[in-house]
Amino acid sequence: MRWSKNISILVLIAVMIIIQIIICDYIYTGPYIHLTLLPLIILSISAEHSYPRLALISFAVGFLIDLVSDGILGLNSAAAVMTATFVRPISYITINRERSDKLERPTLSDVGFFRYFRYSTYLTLIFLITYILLDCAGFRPASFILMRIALSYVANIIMILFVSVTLLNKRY
Amino acid sequence: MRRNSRLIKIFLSIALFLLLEGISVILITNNSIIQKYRIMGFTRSVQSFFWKQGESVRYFLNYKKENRLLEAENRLLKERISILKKYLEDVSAEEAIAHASGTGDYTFIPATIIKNSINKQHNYIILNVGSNNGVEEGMGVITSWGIVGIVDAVSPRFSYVSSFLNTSQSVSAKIVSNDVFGPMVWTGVGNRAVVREIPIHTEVCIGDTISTSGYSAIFPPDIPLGIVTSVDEVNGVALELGVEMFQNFRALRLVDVVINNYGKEINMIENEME
Repeated sequence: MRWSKNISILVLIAVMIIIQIIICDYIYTGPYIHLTLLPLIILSISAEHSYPRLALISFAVGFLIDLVSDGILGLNSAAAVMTATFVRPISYITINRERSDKLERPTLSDVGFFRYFRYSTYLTLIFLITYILLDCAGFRPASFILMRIALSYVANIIMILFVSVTLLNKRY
Repeated sequence: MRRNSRLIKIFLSIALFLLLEGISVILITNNSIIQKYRIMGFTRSVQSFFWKQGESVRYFLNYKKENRLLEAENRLLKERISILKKYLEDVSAEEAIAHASGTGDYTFIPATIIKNSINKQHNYIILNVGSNNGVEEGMGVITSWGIVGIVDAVSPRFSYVSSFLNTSQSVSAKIVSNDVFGPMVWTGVGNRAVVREIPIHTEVCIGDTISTSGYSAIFPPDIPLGIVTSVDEVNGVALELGVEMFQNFRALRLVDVVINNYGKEINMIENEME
């Protein structure tokens, strides 16, 4: 039972990685919007993993996306590791500590819409801020960076909530 | 015991985080020129801060040595003033006024060294002055005891100087007693240099002074460089002079960046001829 569950999660993560690669390579969203499924992929990795394992998996997934997509190598991996670092502290803040320790991974049906919304909002923002600062800071004006973070956040949170409702909400 | 293992876990997690982020940043710098320059620029500004602090400590510890150098420089300047005074007594008032009103060939920008490498084959120096202070690439850097190097790159607040302690750098030097000149290069060891391509018939004695020849737009003439310590014949056609340099690169702190007021004009005419 557990095996089949793990395999279905792995398949789901693999599908999300492929979608992310397609988004990176074939979908042009303009200079202001960066669409990414990486925060969602990190959310989907079991929260039961220790931090080192979670960080290494996030780094590997980020690196894989960097490698196969037409971007700067290291950008996704840096943002993914940063996001993975905050998964547990943010789950303790947004969902309560005892409850998040019991959950294998927080889902919409487990924690409710608003808690899940806050949880995914913080992690998406951490990812986007790291990614966009590494990508633009120093040679793009602050107004552009802020606008890019804001618009990317709106686009991503809609996409993450949609995928969470449709794919991740079921108990696999 | 449990507390210790928890601390070790936290420490290892931080180390892993820094390692993974470090790898990512290295990947970014190696794969994007813009990010590379931006990150390197940030790193350099952090480095410069630490170099400055280190230099302040070093300066404090070297106070005595620094004072002795300044005393010696002061003495040298007094001697030069007395020679000039004697010269001024001999010339007419009109001539003296005409000399005083003209600008010299060179002007100097005082600078402090904030980073100085001396134990490599290609050494470099970082100065606390940059393009904001009028420093440009290709300018010479000197002290009263010799030449220090040539400015290689300039940022608004700092300059990167290719030190004379660089096996690929040479300066046009002359023997003070007879004005015969040749290129002087660092040997790669300590404070020793060699002057090459001196004609074989030249009379040179051990202890002769070597100074800059002035046959370049970078360094003014007659800056003392060192004394001859050995004279060797090379292939029976030229002499090679071993030189012990006056400049102690280990005790360097205050330097002057040389602006040749006619440098651009000289370069322009050189380029035209080429």
